[in-house]
Amino acid sequence: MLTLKKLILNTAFYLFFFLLTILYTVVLTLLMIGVRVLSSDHEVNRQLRLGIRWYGRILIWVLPQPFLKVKYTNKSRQENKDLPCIVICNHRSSSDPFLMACLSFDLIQIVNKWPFRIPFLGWVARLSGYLSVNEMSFEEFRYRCGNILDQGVSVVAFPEGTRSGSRAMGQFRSATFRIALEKKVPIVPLCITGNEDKPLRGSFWLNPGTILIHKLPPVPYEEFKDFSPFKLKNYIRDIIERETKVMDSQK
Amino acid sequence: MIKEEVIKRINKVFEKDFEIDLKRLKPDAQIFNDLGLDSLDIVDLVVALQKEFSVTIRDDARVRNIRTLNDIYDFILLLGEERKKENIKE
Repeated sequence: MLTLKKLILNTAFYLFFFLLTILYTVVLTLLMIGVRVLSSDHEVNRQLRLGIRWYGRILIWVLPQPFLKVKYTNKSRQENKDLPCIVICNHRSSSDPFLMACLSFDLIQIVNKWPFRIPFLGWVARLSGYLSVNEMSFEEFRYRCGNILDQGVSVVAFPEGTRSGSRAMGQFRSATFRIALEKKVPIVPLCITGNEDKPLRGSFWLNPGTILIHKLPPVPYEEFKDFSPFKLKNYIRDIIERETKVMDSQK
Repeated sequence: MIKEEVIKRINKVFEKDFEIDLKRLKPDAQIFNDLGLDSLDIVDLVVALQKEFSVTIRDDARVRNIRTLNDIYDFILLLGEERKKENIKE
């Protein structure tokens, strides 16, 4: 039964995924040409990011139904307060960047090289201002990230650097935490569980089940202003680790 | 410098600047995997060690070969010996 479910889930998902991606890219490109004529580059980027968010929402909340569910819980009292912020997320699977569509504010993601290599999606991501951290020095990364935050756009980072493929969490890298300290912006811990096999590392097969996403209350700058980058990254890592353990145990 | 003194002072740097518990500071501890430092943290570590031992190590290519805490102890000891030899020559 599980195998049949898995087969139906993957056939339906990937069929509609490809169709949606092609259709979305064509429509988005045409719209962007129109917007570009009438407004600035920043506005084009903003509209592209909005387009990506809605694309991601269809992808995570509509296409995998009914065998794969995504449950998002916002554990902070107020939605979209303290913006812009830096969202720090644990990283178990290649589905993580798509799951960021659950967040309802303007953001860019800091990604590795591989998402930029995906046809259509990678091009749109690059155009909308997403940053490939491995393709630049820390100085350039700091400058570009700072500019993005100055424009009021939040930044999402996966400081483990690579997906763990399991429930384990790797060590955090400090680059984005240094920027949080420098730009005095709050940090929002985002915890994702249940997607370590959706898909498994090195595979495209999605497994039926439930993915849980918990957005924790923002950690304000005042709370960590005296921390070193090393202490800050481990402080946030501990918060995420505690929450993901609870989330894993609920399954 | 005797090795015990170097170990004590380096561990103090880790404890003070990185707030790493002394119990975790075992000689075979991997700087990246076990202690959780990354390449940017290494820059901070180099600055802290330079200050602690009044040495210049930022441009020393041998820093790139450091993997464990013990490698740091040995490296600082070696720098101490090199400095001693230079002083004798002068």
